[in-house]
Amino acid sequence: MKKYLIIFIIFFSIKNIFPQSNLISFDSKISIESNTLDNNILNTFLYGGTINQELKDHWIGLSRKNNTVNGELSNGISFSKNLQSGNLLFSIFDRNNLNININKDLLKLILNGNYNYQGELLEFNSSNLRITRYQQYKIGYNLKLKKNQIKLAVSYLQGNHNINIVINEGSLFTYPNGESLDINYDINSFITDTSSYKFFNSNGNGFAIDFSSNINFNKSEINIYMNNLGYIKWNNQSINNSIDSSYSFNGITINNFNNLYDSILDYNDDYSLNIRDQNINYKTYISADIGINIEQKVTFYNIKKIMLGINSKWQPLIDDKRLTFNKIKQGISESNYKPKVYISTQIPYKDFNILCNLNNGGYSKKTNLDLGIEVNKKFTYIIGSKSINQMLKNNNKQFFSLYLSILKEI
Amino acid sequence: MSNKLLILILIIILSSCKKELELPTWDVDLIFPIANSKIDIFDIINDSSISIEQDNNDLVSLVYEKELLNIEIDSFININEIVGETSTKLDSLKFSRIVIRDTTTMGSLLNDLPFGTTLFPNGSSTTIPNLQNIITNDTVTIDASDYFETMTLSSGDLSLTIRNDFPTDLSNISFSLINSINQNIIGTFSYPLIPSNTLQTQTLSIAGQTIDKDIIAILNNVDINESNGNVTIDYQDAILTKLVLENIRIFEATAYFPDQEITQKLQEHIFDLKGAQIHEIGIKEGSVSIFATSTITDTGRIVFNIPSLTKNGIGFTTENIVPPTNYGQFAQFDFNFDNYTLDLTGKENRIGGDTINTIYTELFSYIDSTGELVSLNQSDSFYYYTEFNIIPEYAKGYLGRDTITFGPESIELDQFNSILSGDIDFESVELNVNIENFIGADGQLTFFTLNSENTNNGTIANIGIDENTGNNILNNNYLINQATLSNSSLPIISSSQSITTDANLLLDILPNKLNFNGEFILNNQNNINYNQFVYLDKIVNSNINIKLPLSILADKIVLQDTIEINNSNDLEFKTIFLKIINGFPLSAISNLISLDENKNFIDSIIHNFSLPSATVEYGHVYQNSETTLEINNLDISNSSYLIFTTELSTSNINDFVNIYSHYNLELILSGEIIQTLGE
Repeated sequence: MKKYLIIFIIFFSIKNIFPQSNLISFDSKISIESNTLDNNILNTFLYGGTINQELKDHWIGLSRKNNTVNGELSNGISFSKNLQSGNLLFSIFDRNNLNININKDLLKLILNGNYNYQGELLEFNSSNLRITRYQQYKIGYNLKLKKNQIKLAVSYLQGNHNINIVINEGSLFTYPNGESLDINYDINSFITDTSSYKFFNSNGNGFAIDFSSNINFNKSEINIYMNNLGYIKWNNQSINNSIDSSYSFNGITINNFNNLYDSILDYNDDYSLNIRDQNINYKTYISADIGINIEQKVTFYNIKKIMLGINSKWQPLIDDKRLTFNKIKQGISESNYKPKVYISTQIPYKDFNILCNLNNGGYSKKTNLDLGIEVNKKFTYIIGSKSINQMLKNNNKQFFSLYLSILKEI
Repeated sequence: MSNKLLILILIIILSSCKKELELPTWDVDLIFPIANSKIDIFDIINDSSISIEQDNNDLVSLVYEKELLNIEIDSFININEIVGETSTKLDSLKFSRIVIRDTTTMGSLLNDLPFGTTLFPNGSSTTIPNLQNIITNDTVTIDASDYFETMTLSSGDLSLTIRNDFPTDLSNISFSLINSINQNIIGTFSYPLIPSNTLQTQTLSIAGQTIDKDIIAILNNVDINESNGNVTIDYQDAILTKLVLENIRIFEATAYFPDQEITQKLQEHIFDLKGAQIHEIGIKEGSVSIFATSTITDTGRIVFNIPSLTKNGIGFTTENIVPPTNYGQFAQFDFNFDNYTLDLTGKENRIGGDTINTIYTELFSYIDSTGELVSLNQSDSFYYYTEFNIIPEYAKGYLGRDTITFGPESIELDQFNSILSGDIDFESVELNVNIENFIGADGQLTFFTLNSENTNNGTIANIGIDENTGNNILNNNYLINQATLSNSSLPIISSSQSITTDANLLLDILPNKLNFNGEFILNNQNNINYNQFVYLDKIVNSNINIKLPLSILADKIVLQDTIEINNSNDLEFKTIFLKIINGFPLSAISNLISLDENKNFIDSIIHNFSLPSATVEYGHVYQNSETTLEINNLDISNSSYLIFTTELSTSNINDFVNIYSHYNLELILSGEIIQTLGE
């Protein structure tokens, strides 16, 4: 966090670069949200300490069948140049994404072990972990057609690092007294070159596209958009490990009490993990936003407009299907994101504007109040949180978010 | 100003405290299987001396078999002897005949006579007058260096032959031989008259004389008698003198000795085979060594034949050089006789016919002349002897009467060592003593002692009645018939004898020893039969065989086993679970204690754990019993030994229960551990 503040301060010391009638902005955003896990858990995982049984019970109590954690840290600058027919857009962003979905049974197993679940089938299907770091270089054009607009943009993505772990299938059944374990697993993992962890290593590249259309009807404006629909292809220094097996583990079978060593050798042969590893290049998708909103002009006190919208994300785990309707469904369900329905407005107040967005869904799958403050001085400052209601809680925060934008017309 | 403010903020941020990221730790409670096993009777009985049989109904019988007797009879057949010591002195050394000739012609005589050739020209016919002393003191040196330097004779004959080819008689011939060195007279010959065209020979003994190589022959006198009328004068007519030295035996000599045989020894030798009368031995491993030493400075040679020793029908013969030896060391000649056949019937076509235990050998010794001048005397000699080392493969003939005792011996039985107490009863126990005779001779086997003993409580149980004969086994003489050969050659058709008895009483005492002693008499009836044989790799096999069907009654049989453990395991189990599925008709009450390295008690891990028997109906297990043993907080980190004690009882202590091969005991071991993650 300290590092990003430093970058922000250094950047802001630079004198005006661009000529007038254009807009330059710096944006920084950090958010961690979960549908079940709260800040106690996060703090424990970040700063250590002992996870005692009370905490474990608390977490398991909070958890649902699928427990999602999504973290995002992005910083960048944008530039918009006004032209006669529209706007030319440039932006450079540094993005770090973490997206985890843990099945409740997997969480129980990780926290408690299997002793308390004898005679119970623990299933870990659909658990996954995605961590991606990349830079996005975007160029676009916002075409103004009378009152309507069409925006198109393309991005070049430079991938630095990626970890992708998908548990397609996984289950554990513990027989009473641990007499036997029935184990079934099908796990696929991808990781980029591990020989160097420099932040700006180039381990892959890709591209993304943005498309949006803004249609005006009298007092209403409909915006349909699809942003950051793209992928990164990682190089063949990347490692793919896949393990899948299904067996009953009964311990060492002792055939010959005179030579236990022979029995141990047999044991090593019987229970091979069936790990296959190979160097390959593979493709991952970045999180795309797809949505529609309607902005309506209103006259209600100081409120001049209200927007209603729905936003969905598309991000399949593995590129294993062609682009079909099934793939679209796959991407939406594997994004771990519940389509967010929102209503937003701007409330002018004295020298600043209050930006409100009341929404439900997203990664937290809850109702959140996105509140920001816009101050127009020499620069325009926008600072806010996507979930002010969570931020103001004393404890058990399930959403931590801060964003900051600094804009300047030049 | 704003820039300065920003820089100030930057400095504050850089120097601010930052909480370090750390991983959390937490405990997870895991339970998992450790090991499993299915044990049947084949796994329980872990003794290489016990085999397991099962009948058609899968009833298991334990069979214990051990070699009982190991009879050795090759000791009397092994041949390890020295034979044929021979010493040959050179007083028997021969020397070849020496002949020296001389010719005196009429022409040479007339040449020496004044006007001789004028008066008696060659070819003329004239009367020869009386010529006295025509030859006087005519000396000729005889050089015998081609034969000797000097020679002192123990015997020898010197003969002089004079042949008169003159046309007139010779008279008053006197001839002397003198050693040139010492002028000793060797011999003198005198011929009063040798008529014309006749010869005369005189021989005298020169035994004891020493002769040098240079001999002076002196013709002391020759008279020519008047001829009878005119005779033809032929200058080629001559007086021929022949001197012969023969029948020479020396005391000592420096001479060129000719090749000659020194000695020959053709002899039979009888081996002591301790009462056996053997006519043939097949040799498995054998060697003969000839040791020879010679004092003569010339090379000796020996030829050694053993017609009795053949391989593929060919008798053994060898010829070896015996070099001159210094300081009396022996030259040794070794010969390998593996796989030879030794005929012990003596010399072929011997007088009196074939015999036994007798070998026939021929040894010839020679001097091989080297062509060098050699000094020898009568004390020089050859000495040699022969050493036989034979390990037979077989022997044929009468093997003799031999009494071989065996024991007192004991066989250790550790099968019951684990049983500390309790009663066990076997429904039946069959004991067999099997004897298999591979010797082609009858024998008699007697056991004086055959019992089982429990040395812990001092009980002894004797073997009882032979079920085959109804007699007591002890002190009973068992006749063991001879084996036979197939068409007088291998393979051997053995004869067998079996002693069978009920050994229930022997095992009831839970013995740890089997004691026995007795004797085996070969040719107990002493009937001499030369058709007997023995092949030494197969003599008499005897083993004891105990068959124990597992139909038992057990009442609180206490077994104990001590296990030494190695505590290198880092896992600490909170709880151990042992699930036992018992398919045997035996119940158990078990205890397990741990001891330290000094065998001091540490902890009772299992106390009176009860394992019920499987349910038996109509003599068969029809339902297994299941029990789970739970051991909490097992800590054997300081333990070096575990002592496991179990008390076994059959499901019914009134009826025998059978153990079938398909019965098993299934063990499933699992454990609970608390593992800390994140460390």
